[in-house]
Amino acid sequence: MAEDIHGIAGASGQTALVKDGGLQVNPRTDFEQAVLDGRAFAWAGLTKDATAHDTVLGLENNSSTDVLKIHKMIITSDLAGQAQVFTTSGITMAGTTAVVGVNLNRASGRAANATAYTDETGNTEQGSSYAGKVLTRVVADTVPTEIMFDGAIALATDHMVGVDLTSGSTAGATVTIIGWFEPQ
Amino acid sequence: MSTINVRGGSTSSLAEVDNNGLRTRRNSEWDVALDAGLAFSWSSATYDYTAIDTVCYVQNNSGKYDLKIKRIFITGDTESQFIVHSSKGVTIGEGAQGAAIVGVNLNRGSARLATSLATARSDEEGNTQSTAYLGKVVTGILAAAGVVDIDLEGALVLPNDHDVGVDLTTNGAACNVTIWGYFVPIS
Repeated sequence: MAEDIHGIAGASGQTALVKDGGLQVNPRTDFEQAVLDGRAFAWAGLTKDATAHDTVLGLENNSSTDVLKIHKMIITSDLAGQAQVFTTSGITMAGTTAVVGVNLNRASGRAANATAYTDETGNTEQGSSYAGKVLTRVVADTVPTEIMFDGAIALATDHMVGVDLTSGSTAGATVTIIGWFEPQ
Repeated sequence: MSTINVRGGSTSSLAEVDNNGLRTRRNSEWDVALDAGLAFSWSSATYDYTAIDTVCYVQNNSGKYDLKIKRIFITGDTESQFIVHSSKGVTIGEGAQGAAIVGVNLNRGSARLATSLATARSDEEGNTQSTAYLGKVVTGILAAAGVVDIDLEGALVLPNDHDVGVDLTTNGAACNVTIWGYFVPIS
């Protein structure tokens, strides 16, 4: 004879329901938890006219306590070409325009401990034939390319991720990076 | 060897075991909101827009719920940069082509209205995001007659008096933006 458990209760006293024969569970990803905690940010560059092999957006983790994990990227250009997503470390970040991370939880006052630039020129990945490349793919013209990483790129302190467009653009290109800080 | 039956707390429904595993049911915030009639679509009517118009804008007016943005669809007849931005404390204004946007409940069995929870406009002019776009969340380029589908997965969380808007920076003749969002009780 099986023993009945009537309800699985949490700390708040709420009990889990069973619906359609399934115990309801609320799995929460690391990214979803980071959003709730105010640890998730978007770095969105405004359109710039990129020359070939420009790093359209570079993002460096400056936190010595948290790893910066990349959730997704959105890449667009008005010229079809190839996107090189790469990582490197120990560089001095520089660029045209600083990009301030926007906290995705608008109730949070937490600022991103990171540095980001459009047209990032501190990295030397092009010269090293993209030794740190993690993904290469074709980008169609004027079609946003969304790449889901789900945290698969984890940046320790002083490590950066960048996106180069090997064909550049005729008038404009943009990159948005969404990521979160994960305490170690 | 003893076994246990797992039952739901309030309904006492019995959880099934099949394929040698306890059956579970993912209960996402979106699913809960949809079932509760708290998920809405704000879709702007087609209009002739000018550069840097905020084509579609939604502001959370609820002190009891956060508004989470799930998905944004952008279309237009002209190639343009698009900017999804967020700010707060905006006194909503309407441009010449502006109109109120009534949120449509995505659970068509629900009579709940979004009007007491949020305010939405096309051609919104009260926000001051243009040019610098300090609150930019996503940027990109929209092709002429193209469609952009941005899956934000509820990751943009708007408390009371915070907003989301979509700007097109190049003048065109016709555009539409649709924003899907859902309300989650503040815990």
